[in-house]
Amino acid sequence: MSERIQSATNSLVGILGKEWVRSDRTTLISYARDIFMPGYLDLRRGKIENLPWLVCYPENIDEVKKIVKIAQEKKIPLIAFGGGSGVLGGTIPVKGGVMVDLKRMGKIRSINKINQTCEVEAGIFGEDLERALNREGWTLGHFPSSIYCSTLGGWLATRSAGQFSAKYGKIEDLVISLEGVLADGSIFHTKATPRSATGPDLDQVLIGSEGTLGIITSAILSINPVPKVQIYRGFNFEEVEGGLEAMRVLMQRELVPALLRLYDPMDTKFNASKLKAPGSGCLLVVGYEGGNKELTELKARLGFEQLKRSGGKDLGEEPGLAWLKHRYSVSYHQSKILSQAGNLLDTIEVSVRWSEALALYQRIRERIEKIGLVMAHFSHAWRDGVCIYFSFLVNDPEPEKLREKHFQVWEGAMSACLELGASISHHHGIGFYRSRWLKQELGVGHQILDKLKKELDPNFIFNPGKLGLGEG
Amino acid sequence: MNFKFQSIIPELKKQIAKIVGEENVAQSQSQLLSYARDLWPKLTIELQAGKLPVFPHFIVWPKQTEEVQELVKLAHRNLIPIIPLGAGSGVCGGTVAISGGMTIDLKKMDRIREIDRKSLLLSAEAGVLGEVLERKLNQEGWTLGHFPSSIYCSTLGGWLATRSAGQASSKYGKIEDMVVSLEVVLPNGELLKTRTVPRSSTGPSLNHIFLGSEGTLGIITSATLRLWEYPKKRAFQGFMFPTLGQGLNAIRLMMQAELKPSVLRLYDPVDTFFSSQGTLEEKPKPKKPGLSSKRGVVKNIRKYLPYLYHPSLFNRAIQGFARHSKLILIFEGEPEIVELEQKQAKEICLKSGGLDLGEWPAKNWFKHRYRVSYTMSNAFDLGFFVDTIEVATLWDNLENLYYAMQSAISKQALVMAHFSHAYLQGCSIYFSIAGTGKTLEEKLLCYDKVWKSALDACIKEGGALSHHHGIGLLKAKWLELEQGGASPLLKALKSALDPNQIMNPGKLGI
Repeated sequence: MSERIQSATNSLVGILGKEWVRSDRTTLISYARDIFMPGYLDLRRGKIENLPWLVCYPENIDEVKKIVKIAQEKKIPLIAFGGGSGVLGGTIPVKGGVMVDLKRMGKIRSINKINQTCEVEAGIFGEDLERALNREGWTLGHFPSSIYCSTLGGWLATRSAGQFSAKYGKIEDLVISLEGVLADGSIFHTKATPRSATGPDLDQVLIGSEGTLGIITSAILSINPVPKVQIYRGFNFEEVEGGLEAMRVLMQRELVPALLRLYDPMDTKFNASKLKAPGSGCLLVVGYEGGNKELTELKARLGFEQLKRSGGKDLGEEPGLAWLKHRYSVSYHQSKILSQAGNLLDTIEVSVRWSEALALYQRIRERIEKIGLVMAHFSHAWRDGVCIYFSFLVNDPEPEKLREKHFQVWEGAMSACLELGASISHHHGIGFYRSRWLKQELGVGHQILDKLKKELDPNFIFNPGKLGLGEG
Repeated sequence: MNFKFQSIIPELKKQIAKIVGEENVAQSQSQLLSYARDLWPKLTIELQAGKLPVFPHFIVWPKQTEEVQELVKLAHRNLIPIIPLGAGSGVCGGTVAISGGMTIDLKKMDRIREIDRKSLLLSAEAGVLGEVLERKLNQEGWTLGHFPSSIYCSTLGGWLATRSAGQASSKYGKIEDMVVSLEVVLPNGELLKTRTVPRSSTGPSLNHIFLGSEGTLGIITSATLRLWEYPKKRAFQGFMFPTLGQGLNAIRLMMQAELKPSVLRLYDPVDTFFSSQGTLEEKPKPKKPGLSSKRGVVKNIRKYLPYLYHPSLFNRAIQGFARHSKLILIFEGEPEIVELEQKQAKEICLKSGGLDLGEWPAKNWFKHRYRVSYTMSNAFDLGFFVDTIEVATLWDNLENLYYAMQSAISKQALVMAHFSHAYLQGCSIYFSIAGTGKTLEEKLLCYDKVWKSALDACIKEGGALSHHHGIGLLKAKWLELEQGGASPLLKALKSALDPNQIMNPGKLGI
């Protein structure tokens, strides 16, 4: 083993230079986990598992290609790594191997104003990309709450969705073309075209593959002008049911906003002071924005009228603006709660059609309530359904029992999704933790992915142990 | 791949009949002949000269998914090629049984399984004809919003298998935007059902593996699609631009201003000329309803038939005097939004140099919007051939690609084009061509040269080989160039799903 690592190290140093191949313990520890919540438990106990063997930092696609060739030759796992902000253990080197940190590949290669596209390398941080685009008058329109600590490559690999995806599209809708490296070391650069009918859309096979089928090194993405107008509003609904119904009607009437979120009573209570809204009932925040001022204003007016007709009480713009101000803060305050011994906090986002949305919400909530504290908001609405985003807190002084409770919550929520024909993940992905339920959700489809993996990567070089691939 | 099932054909027939019933399997020459080709013009030229295409060995009509599974298992065991078929309206040879085998016609699977009114979802079987489905939905106040000109003779399954796009795709989306879930019989007979959820982050998109797979990876037997409320209002507009460039600029500005026309079609000067004689003074002529229909085009071209033997000169002559570009626009949906979009579209067009033609060009187009596909055969009777070549590219490459392909085709055939599917980032180009030759050999030679020169130019200039007709046999040999190094992915999908290569052999070049 160590001989293999040593010879891999030598080869990698030969390609990247000494500076960009690291194996010191501090580096290895900091790459051993992502933000998979039970990982905090282990860390708190000083239990550090799954150390990678090496971390390397390629600067361009040719270096990535060479790294893949070496890994192939020596049968060494490669884990593509961006910001490490995944919450399902997607970048944890569960079988050891070499971390391929892509953050040195963070250039914006070009912005094309005629095509409304930009070509960007995978390792760029979301916030850096968005700010650079803003300076030129553009926005990507992709705002996951992890935006400060997640990269473009991570978004693509996990099928990310942002807070304004209703307007700008989920990450898969923003992709015009992908560039990367396959397991055999070959480079691909798919055609940059607004649309084509040239066989299966191979971009869509790579997006969401979580580093198991290829390493994405850059993408051409759709961009939009920085909005000329932003119109926000808060509404209050007495119950979840009425609020959900209002969201559905709004989406189905072509009055699609950028932002549309409904908080259940517990989540409303929790957020009330921060969002300057009443602590009872259900808070809904809605926002319209765009480069077409007149059209945005018209849609906002019609949208707000519709929400009122659906029974919403108009709270004015303050809750909407307050939401905007705090839009990313939640993700960066979890460690306070986690730092208290015995606490474990986590989130579960699921996807469901409208006709089953209320039933799924109730079933999952009831199951979690038996184990811990739960609140939820409906964070993304579509014409045909909605994303339900649960936050929960479980507590136990015994780490093993706490871990068990955490699992019970997940098991309850995931099985409810499977029972009601919903999806176990809306936008966080699978990693290793959700693999067991993924197999149930996809059924025969999982066997297809498994066979595809074997064809493309017979030695299981790319991110082994993720998406439940290669486990028979 | 050599298939060796000929010796067991009588036995196979018995087994097929056991699955679907005697009445649902056919082997007569006339039936085999009518299933031997789709609407690929090359095959029509050949047929006219008495050259028959390859026949399948059986035509089979399953009535439910389980029967499809049994048929596929039978084929899997005996290594028989399977060609899934909807209505056979493809124009690239996608359903031609080049190795013989079993053509599985899905048209007896045409039920609407479920309408989820709350989620605006429709679940329908793959064999339903487009127009039948749309009318049923209209009766209940819905629309699918998918209107390919083949709608009378194409099926849901065909749309999915070829990545179809309809005339109103700027508003309602292309077929891949409409699909929520699929039911697919895999090449080993197993059944895949993807989840009916609005969106998920559960690995690669399984739906996208099968959308556009043209029957090479499985048989789509049913799909769940998103519905729209039938539009409350529809508004029609027409503009004439002094140059094509000004028209292209206008449609780009419209798309990038977040306007969502249901229909947006800009005709190049030659297409404008042939479809409406192309003068700015043109006014509606009530007694000649075919103004913007291709019946008019075919008739007009007929007048110039002798010139088709000298395509370079002919093209140059017409391009010399045809200058203007006509644009038609339709907005539909929420009345207040439609009105605003219409107003803004007009402002953009006038600012870009367009002249307002009023409602009639778009209204007239709307009335005859499907006619073009059903008048093409006139051309073949008259001794020439027509075909269409649809490609796509980003805005900053659009004129370059257009002129490069136009120039490449000009040497072989009369060429005109329209721009009918616009996006934030780019647009499709739809070339219509007419060519001929003194003998069958010359005609076919001309036909092949048109395609070779057109697609070579497309690849060279960075265009996408097909916007919405698909690959089939026609474009297969260019596909690897198109994929930019990603072809191992498609090949891996094929080996993973169909290691015996029984599914629609030769299509997509795999």
